[in-house]
Amino acid sequence: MGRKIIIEPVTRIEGHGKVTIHLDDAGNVTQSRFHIVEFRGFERFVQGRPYWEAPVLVQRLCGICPVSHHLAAAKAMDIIAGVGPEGLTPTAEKMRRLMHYGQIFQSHALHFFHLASPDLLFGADADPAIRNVIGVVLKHKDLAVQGVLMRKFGQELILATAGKKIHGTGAVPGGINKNLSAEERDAFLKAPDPLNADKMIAWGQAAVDFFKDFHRKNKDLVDGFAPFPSNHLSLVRKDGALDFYHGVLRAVDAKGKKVLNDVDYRDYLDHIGEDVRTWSYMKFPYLRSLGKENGWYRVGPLARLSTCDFIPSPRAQKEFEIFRAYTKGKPNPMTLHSHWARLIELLHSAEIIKDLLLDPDLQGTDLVKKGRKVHEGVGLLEAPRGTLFHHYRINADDQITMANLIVSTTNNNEPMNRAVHWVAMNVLDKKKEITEGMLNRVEIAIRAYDPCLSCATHALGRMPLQVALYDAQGVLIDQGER
Amino acid sequence: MDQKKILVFGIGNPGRGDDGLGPKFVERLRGQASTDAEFKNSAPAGACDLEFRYQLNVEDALTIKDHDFVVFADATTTGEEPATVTEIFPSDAIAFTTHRMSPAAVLALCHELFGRAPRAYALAIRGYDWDIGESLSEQAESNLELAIERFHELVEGLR
Repeated sequence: MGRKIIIEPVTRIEGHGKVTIHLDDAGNVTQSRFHIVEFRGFERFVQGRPYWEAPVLVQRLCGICPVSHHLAAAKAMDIIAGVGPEGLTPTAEKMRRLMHYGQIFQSHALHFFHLASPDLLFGADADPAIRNVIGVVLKHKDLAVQGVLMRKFGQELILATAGKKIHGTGAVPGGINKNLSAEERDAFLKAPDPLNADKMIAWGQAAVDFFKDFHRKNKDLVDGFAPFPSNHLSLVRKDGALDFYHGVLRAVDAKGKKVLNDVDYRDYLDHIGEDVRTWSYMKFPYLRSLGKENGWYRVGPLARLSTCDFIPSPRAQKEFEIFRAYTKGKPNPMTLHSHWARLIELLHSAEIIKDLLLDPDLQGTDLVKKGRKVHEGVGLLEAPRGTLFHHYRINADDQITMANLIVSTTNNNEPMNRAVHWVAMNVLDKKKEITEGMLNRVEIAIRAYDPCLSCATHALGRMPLQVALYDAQGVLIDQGER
Repeated sequence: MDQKKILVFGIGNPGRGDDGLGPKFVERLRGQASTDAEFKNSAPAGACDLEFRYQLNVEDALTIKDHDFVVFADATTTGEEPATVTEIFPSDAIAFTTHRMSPAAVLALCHELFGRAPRAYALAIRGYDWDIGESLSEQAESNLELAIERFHELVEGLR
C-alpha cells in the first residue's frame, strides 16, 4: 500500500526550481509538485524607507523584469501621492506606457527566441546538444538574429524612457521625470533597418506566422501537451480591450463565464486570497468566490487572450480572431498555446509602440501632478508573465510600513504544478527512472510559464532545476538536474 | 602597439549582499580608470569597457562581439578564496528560464551569429552572505581587493 509522504517545507533553496514526484507501490504517480522559493525579503527591505524611493528600490527584485516592478510601484505611489490611478498627465501616462510596452516587447522576444523556439524546433527528444539557442542559430539564423535585435530595440526604448537600462528612474509618484525628445523619438521611428518601429512590427508578424506554420504541421504536439482547463485572470481596459498598463480586474472560468466582473483592482483583497501549503513557502492565490480548491487561475499571455474581448491594434486583432476561433471563442486550456498568445502580444506591443512614438504628447512638458497624500496605495499591471500586484502603506513620516507583492509567478503557481503533474502522469507513470526525455518535458512545461526566480542571487552555479523521484516509502530513487 | 579591446562585465544583484561582488568590481575599476592614468593607458589592454549586469542575456552576444577579450566577474558560493581566474569557452547549454544565461552560452551565441568570439575569462570572487543588503561582508570585501589584483595580473598576461 502506498504511504502518504509529508514533505517539510524546503530549506533555503532560493534560485532553485525543484520538482518532486511520488510513486505508490505499483509505480503510479500519486503526487507531483513544482516549487521555487519565493523571495519574501523585499517586504522587509523597503520598510522604513521613504515611499518615493519604492519605484527605484523594487527594481532590485528582478534583473529580468525591473520595469514591471518599477511601474507597478509607481502606480501604487500615484495613489499615495493623491494623484490616483488615472490622474497622470497625458505625457506621463504615455511615457510610462512606452516604457512598459517596450519592456513587454523585449521580454516576449527573448522568451520566444531563447526558450520557446528550441523546444518547438527540436522537440523534447532531441539531443540537448542541439536543442538550444545555438541549434536555432544553425538552423534558422535569421530568426536568431531577429531575436537579439528585437531585444536590443526594446532595451533602447527602456533606456530612453526610464533614463537608464538598469535602475531606471523614469516613473516617480504622480508622474514621470523626463519626456521623449524629438531626437529620441526619431531614433526609433526613422532609424535605418532593422532597428526601427516598422521593422519590429514586420518581425512580430513574422514570428506569429512562424508559430502558426509550426502549429499546422505539429498539431498533436502543440495541442496535446499539458492541456488542462482553468480560470483565467488579467487586467482588461474598461471597454474589454487587452491593456498591459492599466484597467479593471477580470476573471473568467474555463467556459468563459465571468467570475470577477471588471472590478477596481484596488479592492483586490476582497476578491483574491492566498492559500498556504505545508510543502512550500510560495503561496497559492485563489479567487475567493470559488474557494481554495477551485479558485486557482492562470495569468500571463494565455490568460490575457482568454479574458479580453479584443486587441486594440489591427494586425494583432486579426491574429487574435484566429486564435480565439481555434477554441470557438472559449478560453484556451492548452499550455503550449502560451507561445502563440505571447507572439500575438509581441506583435501588438510593436504596433502600440509605433502609435505612441507618433503621439506628440510624448514631447509634452507637463510631467508630474500633485494631490492630497493618503496612506495606502495599490498598483497593478500586466507584466510579461502575468498580473503583478504591489500594495503599500505608509506612516505620517512618509515611511513605508507595509508592502505586499503578488508576482506573476506566484499567481501561476498552481498552473505550473498542474503542467508538471501532467508530465509526471503521461511520461513517468509506472517508470522508476528519470530519463532525458522526462527532464526535457518537465522543462518544456515550466518554460511555457517562464517562472521568475524572484531574483535569487545570481552567484555562479546557483540556479539548477532539480527533479527528484521518491518511492512509496519516501526514499529517493532517482534524481536529475539541469 | 596594437591596443586590444577588453570588456569587463560585473554580474550580480547589488541589493543582495555579496552577490554584489561583480557590480562592485566594475565600480572599483571605474573609479581607478577615472583617476589612474597608468591603468587607463596600460598596454596592451588599453582602456577597458566596463558593464554592469544583473544577469547576462542574449543581446550580450552583440555587446561582446567587437572585443578581443572579455572578463566575466561574478560572485561564487563555493569557489576558492579569494578569487579564481579561469579561461572559459563557448558552450551551447540553455536553462529552463530566461533568468539564467551563462557566460559560455553568450560566447557560443556570439560565435555562431558573428563568426567569432573573444577570448574569455571567468573571474569568480568568493562570497558568503546573500541576504538583502547593499554592502559586502568583511571577507568578501577583502576578496574583492585581491580579485582586483588578480585582474591586473590577467590583463598584464594578455600581452
